[in-house]
Formats: sequence, structure tokens, C-alpha cells
Amino acid sequence: MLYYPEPLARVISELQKLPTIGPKTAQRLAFFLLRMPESETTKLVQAISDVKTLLSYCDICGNITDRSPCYICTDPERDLQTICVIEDPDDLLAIERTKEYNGLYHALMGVLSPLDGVGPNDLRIDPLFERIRNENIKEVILATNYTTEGQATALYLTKRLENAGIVITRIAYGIPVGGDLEYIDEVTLAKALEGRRRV
Amino acid sequence: MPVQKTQAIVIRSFPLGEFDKIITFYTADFGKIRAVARRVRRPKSRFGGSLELLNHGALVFFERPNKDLHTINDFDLIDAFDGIKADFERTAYGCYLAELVDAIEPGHAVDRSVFRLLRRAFGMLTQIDDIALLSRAFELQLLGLTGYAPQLSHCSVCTNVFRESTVNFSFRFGGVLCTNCVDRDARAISIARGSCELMKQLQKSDLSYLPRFRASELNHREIKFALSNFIFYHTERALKSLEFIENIKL
Repeated sequence: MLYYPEPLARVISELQKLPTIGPKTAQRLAFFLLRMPESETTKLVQAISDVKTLLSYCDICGNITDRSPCYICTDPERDLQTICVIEDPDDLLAIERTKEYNGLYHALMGVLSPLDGVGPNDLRIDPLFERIRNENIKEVILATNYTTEGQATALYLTKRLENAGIVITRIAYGIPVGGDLEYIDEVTLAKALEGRRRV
Repeated sequence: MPVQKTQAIVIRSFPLGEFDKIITFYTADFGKIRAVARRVRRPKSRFGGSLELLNHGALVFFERPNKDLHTINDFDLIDAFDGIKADFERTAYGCYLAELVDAIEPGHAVDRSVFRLLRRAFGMLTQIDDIALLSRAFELQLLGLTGYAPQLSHCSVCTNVFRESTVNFSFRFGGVLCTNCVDRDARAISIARGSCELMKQLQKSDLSYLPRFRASELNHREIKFALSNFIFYHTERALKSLEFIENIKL
């Protein structure tokens, strides 16, 4: 960093902290920022600052929002009797992009992990049970990842909710659209066969 | 970089960057190793779900001599132990067995019998009802294979044959103490003779015989307390998954 003036070195060093940004990309971005009109860099700085100051997590579902409760929790057009349980708010965006789901969400903010010592009290599991008790919920969709920990979390929630008098469903898993059977791993293919359905 | 092939079980994994993971394996021929799985978190990764925790497979990796971190070339799944992963408690116990191997086994110590024990224990974990007893048998046998076997037939200090009706178990001396030597360790705990006898049986019996054993609640409690403290004394590490199992109430 000795080659650069100190302010530029600082920008390069900070940009390198972002995912997938190495020293060369950081340098390219820093020079791009240097050549940008000042009004544009001010907007960028303001936008980054706003992300940290204006955004927070929705008190109800855990979604990232600029107001709490968030737009999804207060939208009367949505199905208020279905909750989709996700690991993190990022998963909400992925599901919303499908335009196939119109219910509510609940982000756990992680998964149960015996090896990392993450137990039910470290996640937003009690608020989920509270919502199920207090809001007229008819179905809970478990959309945690199909990893060992994600699956363990889904099993734990299923066991805890089995007497709650609601329908509990798990998102399907199997062959991705456009996938080639020959190259699918055995676990996924076995699950796809197990979860086959009549056409 | 020589290409190596061996059978392996995934005992730990951490995300690395955006798409990669560092996987800790216990292997049949190289002991415990760590290797990077490139792009494993991408949706179209060639590894798919094969590198999930507790999976057993045929591993091909590029060995980097004198380095701690190798590179995974291929991992062909042999057994995903679906029976474990279909049950929450079995998954938690499976994680505990994996963490125990990770804690007790130093890196690069090659011991096929440890690999066989772990594979066999995962196999039994899908079938057996008393999974806590399986864990105790696994602990005792793993301690035996790694040179930490608790001494249960002879006094750990004077080595006289142990015949007393009251059993005092010392973590420090690594086993039972006779009445003459019990004063040597003020922190020795008292356990029932039946619990000690059961530990002896668990130490030497094949895991497939476990369904024949009957353990009372007292046996379970005493053996668990004795072994978890014994393991803590030797590894100087509190195992997170053991605490997880204790705190989970369903």
C-alpha cells in the first residue's frame, strides 16, 4: 500500500473486506470511484450509510426493513394464515422472487447446530411459537436449507409443533430445473425418487 | 501434489469465502485431515449434497505435503446415514460422536480402528433405541483406541486387582481407586458397582451387542458424569454438542 496516497490506500483496504473482492479488483474499484463525479460518490456514501442507519429487522418476521412491522407483515392482501419459516432474511428474497408464495415469513436467524453450540434459545424459535398461538395460523412451511443442520432444525420444529393443531409442511427437494440426471449426486437423486408424485 | 484416495467421514465443515467450504474428515488411511471443497456451495456444484456433515464416502484429494489444508478432488458418497438425519436426537448424537473424534484424535494419527469404530457407531445410531448407551460405549472404546482407556479392573494408583464394593472413580488417575489409594484424589467420585461393571462390558463389547444391554437411569447418569468429566480432564475442551444434547428438551 506504500505506492498509494494514504486516502486511496484506505479505500482499497476497506474495499478488500467485501466478499469476492481481491487486491486487484479493490484497486480497480478505487480508481473508478476516484474518477466518478463527486455528486455520485456522495450518493454512494449516503446509500451505504443509510443501509446501516435506516434499516433494521422487523420485530415480527425478522425481515430486513426500514419500518417495523415490515411491508409483508402489514400487507392485507397476503395470506395471513400461512407462515414460511426460513433461516435468514436473504432466503425471504429468494422465495419472493418466485412469485409463488403469498403468505407470511418468519426468519429464525440461523439454524440449530450441535457442533457450534447453537440451541433453540439462540434462535427466534419462541417468537415463532408465540405467533402461531396468537395469530390464526393454519399452516407452517419449513423452508430451512437441506443441510444436516437445516434438516435438524426442521425436525425439531416439527416435533415441537406436532400438537399445535396446524398443518406442517416441508419444501420439496430434488432435481433442479434444467438439471441432468447423469450428473446429479446420489443423495439428491434418491430424495427426488422418494418424493416422486403421480402425474 | 500427489493424488490420494481413501474412505472418509465428514466430521466438521466451515464456510470459506462465498462458495467454498473447509471440510474436516476422519479418514481410514490418513487419520484426521482438513481439505477445501471448491465451489461446493454453488447450486450446480459437482459435490451436490455429498459433503454434508456425517456423510461417509470415497475421498480423492490432492495432498499438499507438510501443509494442513488439502484440496478435495472428488467425494463419492457411500452412506449418508439417512436414518440418523431423519431424527433430531440421533443427529445431535451423531454430531457429538463426530466432535468427540475431532477433540480426542490429534491430526495425522493414522488409526484404521478409529475410522471403523466411527463408521460402525453411525451405522448403529440409525438402528438402536438407547442412543445414550451407544454414546457411552463409543466414548469408552474411542478412549481405549487412543490410549486413554480408563482403568476399571485394577486400582489406577497401586495396580492391585480391584475388588471393593464401593467404586471411586478418579479423572486425574484415569480410573478406579481402591480404598487404600482413594485419599490420593479428593475429587474422585463414587459410583455404583453396577455402573462400573457395565462400563467394563461397554469397553470390550462389539457395538452390535448393545441392544442386549440394559442400563438403569442411575447407570446412565453415573457413567455419563464419569466419562464426560474424564474426557474433559484429558482434552481440556468442553464439547459443545454434549452441552447441546443436555439442554435440548423436547
